[in-house]
Amino acid sequence: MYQKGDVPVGESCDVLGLPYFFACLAPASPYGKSQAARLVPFKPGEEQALEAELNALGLVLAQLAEPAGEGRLLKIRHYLGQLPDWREHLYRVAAGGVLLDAEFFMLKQSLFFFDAIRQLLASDKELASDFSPPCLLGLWQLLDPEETGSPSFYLGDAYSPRLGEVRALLRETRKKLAGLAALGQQEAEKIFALKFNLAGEVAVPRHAAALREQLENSGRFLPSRETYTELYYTRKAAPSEALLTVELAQLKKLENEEEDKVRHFLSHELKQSVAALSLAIERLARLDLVLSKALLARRWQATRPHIAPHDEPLHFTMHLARHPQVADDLLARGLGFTPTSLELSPGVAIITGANMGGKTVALRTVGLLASLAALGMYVPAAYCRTSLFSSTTMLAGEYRASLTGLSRFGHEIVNLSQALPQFGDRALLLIDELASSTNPREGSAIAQAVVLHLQCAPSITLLTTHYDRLAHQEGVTHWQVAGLCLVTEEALREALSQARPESLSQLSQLMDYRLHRVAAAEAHSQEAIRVARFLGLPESIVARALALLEMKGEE
Amino acid sequence: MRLLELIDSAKVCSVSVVGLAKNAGKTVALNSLIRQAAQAGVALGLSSIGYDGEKIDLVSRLPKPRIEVVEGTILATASGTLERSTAALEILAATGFVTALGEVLLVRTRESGYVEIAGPDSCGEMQKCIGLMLKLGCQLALIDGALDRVGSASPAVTEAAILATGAVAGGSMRQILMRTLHFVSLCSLPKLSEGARRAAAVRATLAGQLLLSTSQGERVLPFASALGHAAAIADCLPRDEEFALVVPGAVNESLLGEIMQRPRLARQALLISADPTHIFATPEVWQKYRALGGRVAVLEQVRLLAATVNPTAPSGKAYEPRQFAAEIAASLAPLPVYDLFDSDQAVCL
Repeated sequence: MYQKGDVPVGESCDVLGLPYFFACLAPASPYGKSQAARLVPFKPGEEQALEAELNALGLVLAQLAEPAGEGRLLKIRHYLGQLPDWREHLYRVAAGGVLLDAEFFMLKQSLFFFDAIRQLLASDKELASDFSPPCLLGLWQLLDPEETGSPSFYLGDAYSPRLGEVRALLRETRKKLAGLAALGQQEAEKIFALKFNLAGEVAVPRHAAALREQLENSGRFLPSRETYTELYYTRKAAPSEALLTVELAQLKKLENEEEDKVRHFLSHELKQSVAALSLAIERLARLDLVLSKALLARRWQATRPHIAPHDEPLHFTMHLARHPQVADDLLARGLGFTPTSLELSPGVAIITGANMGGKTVALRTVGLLASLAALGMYVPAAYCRTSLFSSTTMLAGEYRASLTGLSRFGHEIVNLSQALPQFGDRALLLIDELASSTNPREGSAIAQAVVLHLQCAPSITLLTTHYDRLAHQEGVTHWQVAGLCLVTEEALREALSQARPESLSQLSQLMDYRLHRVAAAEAHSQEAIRVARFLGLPESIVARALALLEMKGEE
Repeated sequence: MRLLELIDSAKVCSVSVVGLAKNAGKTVALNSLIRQAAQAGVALGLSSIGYDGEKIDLVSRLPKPRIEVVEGTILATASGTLERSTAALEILAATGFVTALGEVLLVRTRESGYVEIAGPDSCGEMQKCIGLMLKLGCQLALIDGALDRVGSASPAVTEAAILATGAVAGGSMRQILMRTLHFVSLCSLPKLSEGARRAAAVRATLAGQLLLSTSQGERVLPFASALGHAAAIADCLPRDEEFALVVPGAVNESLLGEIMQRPRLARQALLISADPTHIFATPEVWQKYRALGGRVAVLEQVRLLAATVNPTAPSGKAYEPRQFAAEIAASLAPLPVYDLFDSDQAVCL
């Protein structure tokens, strides 16, 4: 269930396989990732905007099809992947905050990649006009006053002559101080015949009282630490050294103040460019998302969906469509996916057929393709034409009853009541095994009543069912899985002799997953017992079930 | 020979300084090497597994030596430490490794001063940081292992190690020597020789599998590591024939204890570990295991170049410096020993 006009969330989203789409999309930059997380489907009436989005995707796909274009776009994707997320710092600058060196570095790094991407896009005017970040040369120069051309950042002397002067004085003072300290140490060693260790200390044994007294009275030493056996002294700085030390501290303070001034200046200058930076981020986020869509469309061999105009009645057609998640899952198990074709118009259509014949997958494929098209994505089908729906909802057979305290039937009915389209809704409603979790007599009645209700709505409803009566209802379009109807008894026996219990690959080889539109009179049996037999139900039970079925038929 | 000359003669590009305990003198060793490198014109790269260089010891609250770097030094440190450094730093690149103090950045010292260093938390990330620092032009990467972290000494991270030991490592001279010798002996555990057994052990270690080899063949034991499964692992080991057990994670005291508790088991045992930094046992347990005939081999040894000594503990306990250094040098010979508080030269025996 989901709010109308939003990306299907919760059960619908999971069942349709949208999380798999988002996982496969995998934008490279933090900006693209946020854009993907905020992706919303185009709503009825926004067909033109959707066409523009599909045009942009087509443009990128056309570039990907050429070796040179592909090389450029893959390089762009690599640069997008290197971009640090600078949005938080952008807000800080916009609010008048002063940035730290690491934040300036991240911005300079971003500008470096922005420019690299801009140059790569420059060769294609259409792409550049859609996605290219604005030229931010002024900002780059601001952060690279030494004209190094490198993305590294240093608060260098070039920012302020005063900073350069202070640093030069600091270097000089440090040098002087080190020279005086070395001299003082040599002198002290000479006078007292002692040797300083590398930490600048002299050690005096506790028993050498005279030497200790001499050192302490000399005014040249200060006690630093003591052990059980020895006392340690450091050399007391001479007045000239003390003066230089104070001078050094003052210079260091000045250096810090000058650095802070530069940081204030840079942050203030950056504040003037917040709009340009935001635009660059926005454009690159869109580029990243469209490029990710294009790469996925290429991987899925997807095609551009044809969007039906808003003033036409609702429509959905798919030809040779695939559900990528199911197809990938089957491929991992060494099995193939049979593409599905289907056409839907306002009203109710049902899918019947053999158990494990792919009815639910067909339902999920319809929902996924309609959602992908509305999200501005190419669809995994040879052809697809669809209207934009105000909502796409799938009510799956597997309800999370335990989480809500409702029984499976209770959960189904609550969800169904909420999902029923309101008057005038251009909704796509997909229902798996309608009212199958209660007794067949009442379940069938509920299903028939729901179908009658939905036939009056302007929306499209597609449902899977084992209730034969629904197929006979007037105005209901009936699709049936070909299933095992063309499999001869000999072929089935042969396969059974080789199959292990629950041998899905054997079953999938025999099963015809294609959908056929049938008239009520043409519908064949639903083959549950044949499938159960194939999946290893003991022969004695199978025989009894067949006998019971025959008896009921006679009644 | 000065410590830096010793490193130079070993022809290695990365060295870790690990301490037997906190306040064993790692920072003093590091500062000494920085000073020697500055005099010799060697471009240094510095990083730390964990946090280092702070003014006050976070545990004892006592002042501790700070890390002073000269112009041109490359650091791999978290962004949060930059503000606390007095050295002027140029930020060169970001590594993508995130710590509690922010992302680890590669920076170059433009003006000398004090720095605080917080490198990546994991050995794998540190290995990558070392590669990046070398790529940026440093000739020798020095890695400071933080409190009780000997992981940086792993041959998978640095090519060689320096051990810092001192008065803080034990309550008595005997204990200090015992702990120091224990670490040194672990570093020289026999390396598993080339052959089918080594190949299988390397595969199992990489796959994180406990592999048991006996005369019957090899089998993988159904445990992810020895942690929490010592008794169950010991139950799987044969007592009537020699066996080798590849332990992919830590070889801990529980595992050694369980093996020793079972009669005759220790004398049949050969435990195979990735390297000595994966062995966590007190000298007492280790010696008992060895005395019962237990053996341990490693896939890679730690190349220990030298030990440094600090004769003073922060508690005030101290030994006569020359005597202390001489005693440790005599026990560890031929390993060179340095008292870097006193001299750059190795202690003479």
